[in-house]
Amino acid sequence: MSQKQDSDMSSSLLNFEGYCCDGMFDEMFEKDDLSRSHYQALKRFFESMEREEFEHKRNSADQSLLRQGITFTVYDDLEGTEKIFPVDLIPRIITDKEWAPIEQGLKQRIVALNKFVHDVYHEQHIIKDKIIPEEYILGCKHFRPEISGINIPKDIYIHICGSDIVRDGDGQYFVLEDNARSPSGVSYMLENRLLLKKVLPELFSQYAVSSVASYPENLLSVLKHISPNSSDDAVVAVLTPGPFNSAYYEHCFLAREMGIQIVEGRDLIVENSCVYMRTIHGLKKVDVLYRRIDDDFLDPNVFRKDSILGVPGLVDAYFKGNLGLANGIGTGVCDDKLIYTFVPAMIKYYLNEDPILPNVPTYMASNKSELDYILENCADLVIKPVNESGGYGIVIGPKSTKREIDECKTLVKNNPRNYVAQPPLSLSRHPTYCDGHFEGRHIDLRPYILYGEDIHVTPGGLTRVALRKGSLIVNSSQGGGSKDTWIVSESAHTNK
Amino acid sequence: MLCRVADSLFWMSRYLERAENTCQFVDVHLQLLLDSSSHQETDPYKFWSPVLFSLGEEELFAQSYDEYTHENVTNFLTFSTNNPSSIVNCVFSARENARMIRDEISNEMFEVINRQYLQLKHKPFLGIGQSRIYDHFLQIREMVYLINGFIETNVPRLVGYEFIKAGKYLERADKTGRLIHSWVYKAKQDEISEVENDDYLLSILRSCNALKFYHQEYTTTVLPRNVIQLLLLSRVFPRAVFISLLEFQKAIHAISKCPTTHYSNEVERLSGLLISELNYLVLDDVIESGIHPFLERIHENIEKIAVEFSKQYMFFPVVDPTSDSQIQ
Repeated sequence: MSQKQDSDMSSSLLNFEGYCCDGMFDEMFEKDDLSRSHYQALKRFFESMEREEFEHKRNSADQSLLRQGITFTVYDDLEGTEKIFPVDLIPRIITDKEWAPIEQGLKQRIVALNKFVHDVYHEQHIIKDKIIPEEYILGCKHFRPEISGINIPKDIYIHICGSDIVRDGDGQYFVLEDNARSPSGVSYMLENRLLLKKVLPELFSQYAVSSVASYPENLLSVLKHISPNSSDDAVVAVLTPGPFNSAYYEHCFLAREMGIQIVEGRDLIVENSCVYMRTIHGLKKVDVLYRRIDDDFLDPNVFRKDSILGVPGLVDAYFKGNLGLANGIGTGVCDDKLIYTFVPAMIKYYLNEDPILPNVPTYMASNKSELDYILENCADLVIKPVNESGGYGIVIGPKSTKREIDECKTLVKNNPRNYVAQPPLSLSRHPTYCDGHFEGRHIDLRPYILYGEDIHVTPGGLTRVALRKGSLIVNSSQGGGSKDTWIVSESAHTNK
Repeated sequence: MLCRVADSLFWMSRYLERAENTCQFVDVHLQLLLDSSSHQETDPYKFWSPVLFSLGEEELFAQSYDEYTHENVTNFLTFSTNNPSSIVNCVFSARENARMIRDEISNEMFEVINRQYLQLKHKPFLGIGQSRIYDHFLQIREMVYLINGFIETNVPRLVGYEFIKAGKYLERADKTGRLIHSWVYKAKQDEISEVENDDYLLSILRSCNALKFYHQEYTTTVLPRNVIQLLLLSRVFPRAVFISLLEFQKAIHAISKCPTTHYSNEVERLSGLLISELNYLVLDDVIESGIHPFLERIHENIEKIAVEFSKQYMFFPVVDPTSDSQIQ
């Protein structure tokens, strides 16, 4: 950028002139020059801000994230680089009226998923009643036959769930995938809110924004709820793979916010089927673990023998009812994108209700006729491996070369169980500050659902934004950023 | 408190103290090098080998560099990533330990260490000829002082605090002891009584910020015996070996809650023994019978104490949790 432009920029106010929806669904603008009513106060607010001041706020926001070490680690070399997950300062706003059905839909979904996990590891009615073919379930990478027939505290398997939500070109909300193992990102949701309150306090005063601050307390009560030790002083700890894990900051953050210990596998030992942590004055019993380690690495006696992150005997303690574990073992069946296609059927089957939130239409390569359709229309579809997370392995047909599509077809043909396909959604966009002005960028939403004594959906969640122009991939490891997400009371803001 | 957390608090604190000590030490030696008298005998080997000896880094240096040059040694002590005790690595390790115990320390404390880490990580390393290198040293030392301030004002006086203190004072006793030893090594022991106002001796006092205090305490010129007395045995000078060991002892007895009139483990026994030896010895007798082996033994004892400490609290053998066998 030239010197001259720089000086022009510094003296002007921010504006949305020339902002273009490009015919896509935009969260803020109904048309290029017409903003939705719940965004009008926000628009006025930013239009009265000096560009220089805004740049200053952005800069100090980034600096503060880096200084505080709010980072994740990218392993593109041996050393691993710590990066911040950039925050775009323009919040995403959803009205409470619009949010209510999403909240209901998410609650309905977690109840059905939890019943499903119980069923899969007990009587398997859903297979016997021919709702889901047996081989689909047994073929899940994260299916854990080891826990069949085991009863767990309060019969809750999925205590913390993140079901990703997107909007299509018509503004319709869909569930894109479920994360029932250990969904991450909640620390960004909480830190984003703290950051925005510091940087844009004046904007908060123009909206009635629902608070997200009680998440750590809510999580702690969920964890205490599954304690085998019913007294109030249950010992709860976060189990982390350690500082080299990309989400280590989040693990520390949650432990600190809940006021509980953070432990690594090497801090724990199992004696007489109880879990203890090694303290300087001897061993201390642990009642509940919020574990951020995958099933595979949890216990070398039961799962991967080479795991040095886990604790030998931990699963035995869990089976004997001496340890609460969140999330439970084996919940990964819900993360499988082939099983995902059956969630609406599960809701009908277990709850006898209609799904409130629809799924994205999905073709299963494991079904012969759908496989043929996928292979024929590969160039027009998004092909997803069923067991990957973090956006890895996804092929977006319309944006791929002929060669990439051919390679993809071969992969699908060789292992149909491993792939599903979806029509490319034109994900909704949101104005995002890019190189000195506002441009539309695709977003999604990860809400956080907690399942304990009752079910609690944090109002809002983490809005992830694909910062690269045109990109549909919002994951932190793939050049994504995030936005604070505001659930606002509609009656309150229209009065201002 | 988890053993691993205790270990990280202890080492974070040791590394910070080490970074500060080394900064001061290298700073003083670089300035000494510019003085005309020592400039004449700029045999880098003669100049630096006592330093490397005192830090116990001779071997590692010889492995990493082909020859003794001022540039090589300074680089080794300051910015080398091969030397685990270089200033840069001390800051990196302190930060890595701090990162593992973020729930134990305040945000401000972590931010200060992290800021220093980010700066060192992203700045090109400086050569010894550049004046900015002194700003660097000062900045790192100030960072450590700031952290010490945070510790004193923010950290609850629970075991975590005592582990931080234990790390700091054990490191300090060790470093000051090595510093005295380096001079003895350089001077050869028969010359001890004859030297006065020796450049190296002065620079040792400066490294410990002790020159001014020396002149307050002693009316004589800078004499080796007095320097040893001050740095080894002083009951008031905060960098002296004796007072540092006393602080260390206070910390470890606060951890075990055993009174200092008794001991409950090997690390307490060894520290008590060493402290009482230093407390009651007659310095002139020691010098007469050989200061070099004496200092060697002090140094070995401090190492033993460090080993026992980590055995006691960080890697103690697992005991049956149902039997209550703690002696307290």
